[in-house]
Amino acid sequence: MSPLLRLRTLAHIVSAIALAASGIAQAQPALAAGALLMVAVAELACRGTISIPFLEPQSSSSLRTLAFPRWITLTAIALVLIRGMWIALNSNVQIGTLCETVAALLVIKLFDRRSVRDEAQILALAVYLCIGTVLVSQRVVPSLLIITNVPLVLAAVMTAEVAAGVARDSGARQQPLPRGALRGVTIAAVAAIFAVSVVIFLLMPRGPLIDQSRLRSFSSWAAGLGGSGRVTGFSDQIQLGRGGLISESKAIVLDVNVEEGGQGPGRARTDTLYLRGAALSVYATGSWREYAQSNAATGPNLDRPRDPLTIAPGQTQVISGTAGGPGSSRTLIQRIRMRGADRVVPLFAVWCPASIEFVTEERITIDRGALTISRQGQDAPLSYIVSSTIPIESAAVAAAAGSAVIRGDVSTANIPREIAQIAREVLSRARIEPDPAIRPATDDALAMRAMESYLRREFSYTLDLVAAPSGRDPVEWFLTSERRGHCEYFASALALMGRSVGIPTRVITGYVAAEFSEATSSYVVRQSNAHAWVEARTSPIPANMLMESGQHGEIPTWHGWQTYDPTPPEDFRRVHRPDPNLAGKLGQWLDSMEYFWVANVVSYDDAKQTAFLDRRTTTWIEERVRGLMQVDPETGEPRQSAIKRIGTVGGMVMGTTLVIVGAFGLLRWVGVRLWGWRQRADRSIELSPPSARLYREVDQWLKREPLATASQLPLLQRIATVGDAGHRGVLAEMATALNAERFGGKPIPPEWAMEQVAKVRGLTHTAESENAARGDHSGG
Amino acid sequence: MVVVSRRYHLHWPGAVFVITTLLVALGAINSQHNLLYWIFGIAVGTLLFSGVLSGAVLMGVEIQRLPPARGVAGQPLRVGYRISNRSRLVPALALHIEEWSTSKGKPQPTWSDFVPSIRAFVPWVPRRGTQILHSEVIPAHRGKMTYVALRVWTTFPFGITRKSVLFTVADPTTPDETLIRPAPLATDAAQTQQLSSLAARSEQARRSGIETGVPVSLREYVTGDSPRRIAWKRSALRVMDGRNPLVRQDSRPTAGRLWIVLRSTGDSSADEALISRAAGVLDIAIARSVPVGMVIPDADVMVHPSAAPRHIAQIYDGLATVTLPARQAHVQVPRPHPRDTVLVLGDES
Repeated sequence: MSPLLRLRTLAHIVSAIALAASGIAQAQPALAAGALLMVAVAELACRGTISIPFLEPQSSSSLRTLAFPRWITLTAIALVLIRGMWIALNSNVQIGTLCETVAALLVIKLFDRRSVRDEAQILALAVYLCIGTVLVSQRVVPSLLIITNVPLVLAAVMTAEVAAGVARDSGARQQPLPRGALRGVTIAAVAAIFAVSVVIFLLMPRGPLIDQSRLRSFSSWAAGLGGSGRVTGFSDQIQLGRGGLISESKAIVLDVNVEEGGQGPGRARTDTLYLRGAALSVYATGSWREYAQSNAATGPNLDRPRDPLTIAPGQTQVISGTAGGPGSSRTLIQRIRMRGADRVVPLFAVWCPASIEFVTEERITIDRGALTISRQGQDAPLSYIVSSTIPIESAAVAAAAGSAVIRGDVSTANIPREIAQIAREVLSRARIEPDPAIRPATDDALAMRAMESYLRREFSYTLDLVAAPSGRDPVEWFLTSERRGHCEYFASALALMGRSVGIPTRVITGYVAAEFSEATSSYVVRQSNAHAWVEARTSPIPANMLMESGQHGEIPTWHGWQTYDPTPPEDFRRVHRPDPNLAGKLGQWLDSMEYFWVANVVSYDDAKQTAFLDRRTTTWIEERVRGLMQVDPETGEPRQSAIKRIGTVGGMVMGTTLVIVGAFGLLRWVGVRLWGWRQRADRSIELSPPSARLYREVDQWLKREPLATASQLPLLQRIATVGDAGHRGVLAEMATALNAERFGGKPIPPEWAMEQVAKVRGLTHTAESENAARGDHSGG
Repeated sequence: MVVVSRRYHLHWPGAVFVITTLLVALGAINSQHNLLYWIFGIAVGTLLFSGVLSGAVLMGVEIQRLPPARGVAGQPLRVGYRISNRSRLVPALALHIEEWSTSKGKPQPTWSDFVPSIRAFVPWVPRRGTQILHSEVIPAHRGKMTYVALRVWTTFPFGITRKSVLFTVADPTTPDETLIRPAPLATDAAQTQQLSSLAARSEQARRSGIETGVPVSLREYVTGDSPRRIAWKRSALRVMDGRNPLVRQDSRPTAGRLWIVLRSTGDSSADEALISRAAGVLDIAIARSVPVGMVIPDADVMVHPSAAPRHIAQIYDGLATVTLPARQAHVQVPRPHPRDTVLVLGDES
C-alpha cells in the first residue's frame, strides 16, 4: 500500500472514531451515525465505488482523490461558521457547540481533498474534536474511543510525513516504502508516548495552582449541553404544568458504597435508597422551591444557621443528633462519589444525615431544618462520606407513647379547594378522620399511607405530557383531569393533600439508588434515577426530644419526618431498576468498566496522588535511605555496619538493574512473540561454524582493500569493487557459496570451507607481500 | 561527505502544536480535568519522542553525492545520492535532501545559477542499509555546475520539529561538479544539406581507403595540435632553443572534414546562441560521422578535425566552458585543406 493510500485510509478511520466519540459524548447518536455515514461515503467515493454529482476527481496528486468545487466547499464552511457564531452570540460559548462546528468542518473537509496538506488538516480537525470531546464528557466509552484513536493518529501523522515527501517529489524515481516499514517506529512511539503521558498524569501536581476566579473554567463551558426538551435529572426546583417529553438519560451521576452494621460494603437492608438532595417546602401554582425562611408549613420555627462551614480533610462534621434510644435507629454509612459536581451542589444522603466527612478541604452549608447540605467549590468530581441515622418507625412510635405530641400548624394557603376535597374523600373512605383538630396525631401516618395508596392505585405514570391548561393549578389538573404524570406530580399531589388535612409535608428531590453492581459492590445512580417523593412529619415527637440541646453542641435533634412515595411501584421499578435483558447486562458491564475508569482516572486528585506516591515509592525508599543515614548520637558513628550499608546500597542498585533488565527482557519476549525479532536476529548466525569462519576471513580481507567498502553491504557487492580480477573471481565463488548456505539452505562442506579459509589467507599474504615489495621498490 | 552542522528548526506546525499543548496544560490546571492532564501528557510525550527520534535518525545518516560528469543544458540531469543509515536501532524515514546554497567560508555555489533547486526525497533507509536516489533537474544554460554543500532534513515523525544536518565535501579544494554542455540549436536547411554532402564525401573516402593519411611534411606546432603529432626527434633541438616543436603534416585530408570557426559578436547573448548553434552542427556532424575540428580564435582554441569520440567530447567540453571575449585573434588558424568545409559562426569578417 502506498503511503498516500495508507494515509487516506487512516484519515478516514481517525475521523470516524473522533466523530463517533463526539456523538456519544454529546448524546447525539443520530448525528454521530450521520457523520459516520459521510465518512463511509467519502471512502467509497475515493475508491471510485460510487460517484457523486459535482465531486470532481483531482489529477494533481498521484492518488485518486475527490473534491467538490471550491465554491461549494467555501459556502458550506461559511454556513457552518455562521451557525457556530450565531449560537455563540445568542448563548454562552460552549464546548459542545465548538465540537459540533469542528465535526461539521471535518465532514466538509472529507470532501475537499486535493493534496496531502488536506489530509493533514483532516487529522488536525480530528485531534481537536477529540480534545473537545474530552471536555464535554468523561464517560468511559468516548474516552476509550479516544484512547484507541491515539495510536491511529500517531501512525497517520507519520504516514503523512512520508506521503508529503512522496507527493512533493512525485516526479523522481523513488525507492518504494516497504510493507511494515513504519510498524516498528509506530509501536515505539505509542509505547513511549503512553509511558510519558502516564508518568505526567500520575505526577503532575494537582490542586488549584492558579487563581480560579481569574479564569473561566472549561467545564462550565460544557454546561447546558442539553438540547430542546428536558432530560431526567436532579433539580432543586419543580415546575409543573409544562408539556413535552422527558427523555431518560442513563448517564451515571453517583457511585454509592454503603456499609451497615460494620459488615463492609454491600447491599443495604432496604431495597431502595432514597438519596435526598433538596427539600422543597414552598408551593405556589405548580412551582415548588426551598423556603427562604421558616414558616408553619415546614414545621416548627427553628434556628437555621446557613453560614458556610469549612471542613478540613478527615474532619467529621455533625449534622444532626441521634434518633433516640438504643434500638430506635440504625446507622448507614455511605461513601458517595459524584462524577461531576457543579460549583454549588447539594450533597445527597439518606435520611437522616448525622455526620459528613471529606477527603479534601470543602466549604459546605447545612440547612438545619430540612437537614440538607450543599457544597461550594470547584467543578470537579467530589467524594464524601456521610453517615445517616435511619429511624425505625415502630420504635419511634413506641417511644412517643404517653408523651406530648407536637403537630404544629400547617398553612393551607395556595392549596386549591379541589385538592382538599379529594384528600378528605380519600380519608373518609379509609375511615380516618380528615379534620386534624379531631384526628389523633398518631393517625397521621395512616392518613398519609391512605392517600399514598390512593395515588398509586388511581393514577398512571408517564413521561410524555401535555401542558396544563392556562389558569389551572397543575396539581389540581393532575388530580381531577389528566390523572397521569411523572413523579413530581405524584409527590406534589400527596404533599398538598397531606397539608390540606393538617399534616406537615415537603417535597424532596434527589435520587433513588436501586441498581446494585456486584462487580463493584456499589450502587450505580444514573440521571434517570432522579426522583421526587414526600416527607411528612407523621411520627409523633416526644416533647422532651424536640429541642434537645447540649448532646451535640448547639445542634438540635429533629425527628418525626417519614418518607412516603406515591409513585406507582411498578412504574417506579421499571424506571429505576436495571434492565434484566442482554442489553441491560451489557449496560451493567459497561457501567462497571466506567466505575473503574471514573474511580481511578477521572477522580484522580492530589490526595490520591500523595497516597499513590507514598505507598508505592517514597515510603520504601525513605525507609532504606533513613536506615543508611542513621547516626548514633553518642558516638557519631553510623548505626548500621559498613557491610550492611554496602549491602543495602548494592541491593538497591542490583534491584534497579534487575528491574531494567527484566523490562528489556519482557520487551524482547513480547517482540519475539509478536513480531519475530528472534528470526530476524538469528539470520546473522545461521551459518555453520566453518562457514562463519570463512565469512569472517573474507570480510577481513575485504576490509584491507585500499577502497574498503562498508561492512553492512552484501558480500558480492563488496567483492565487485576489488581491483584484481583474479582475486575477485575467487572471492565471488566463496561469497556465492556462503549466500547459498545462508539463504538457500545448501550447506557448505566443512572441509571445503577450511580450504577456502586457507586460500583467503593466501590471498591476503599475496596482497601484503605485493604492498611490501612496492614499498621496498619505492624506498630503493 | 562530512558533517558541518546539525540544527533543530521550529516551524509553524510545531508552533501550533506547542501553543495547543500550553492551552491544554492551562485548561488542565484550571479545571483539574484529569483527562486533560492525560492529553497534556500525550502532547509532551509526542514532543519528546519527536525530538529524540528525528535526532537519532539523522545522527546515523551518511551521504555521498553522485553527480554526473556531464549534462546538457535544457535536458534532464540526474544528480544521484547514496545515502546510508549507520544506526542499528532506527531506520531513517522521510529524509529530504537539498543542495545547499550557502556555506560558511565557502564561495557562492554555482549550481543555483543553473537550477532553482536540487532536492530529493527518500522515504525509507533501513537500519544499517543504503539507498541510492536521484534528483532530476534541467540546467538552464551551459557551464561548470559546482556543488558546495548538501542539507539532509526531516520532520519525521510528527512534523513538529525539523532537524537538519549540513554536509560538505571532505576536501573543499575539489568540489563536486558537473559540466553542462550547451543546448544544441537546430541548424538551418542549407547547413544541413552542406553537412550531408560533406558526410557523403567523407564516407566515400573512408570506403576507398584513401583517408589513411601519410606524413609528407613538417610544420611548426600551433595551439590545438595534438601532442601525438609532434615529431620529437626533429623538434629536440628546436625545443632546446626555445622554439615551438614541429608536427607532422599529413597528406590528408582527402575525405571531407568540417572546421567550425567561432567568432565573437561582442554581444554575450548572441555569443551564447552561436555556441548553441555550434553544438547543433556538432550533433549533426557526429551523427553523420564527419570529422569535426573547431577553432575559436578569440579564446585561443583550436582542435583539429577528427571523428573519434574522445575528440568529440573534447570539443563539447570546450563549448561548455568557453567564453568568447571580444578581442583580436591570437591563435594561428591553420590553412584548411581544399576539400575541407569551413563553417564560420559569428563575425564573419
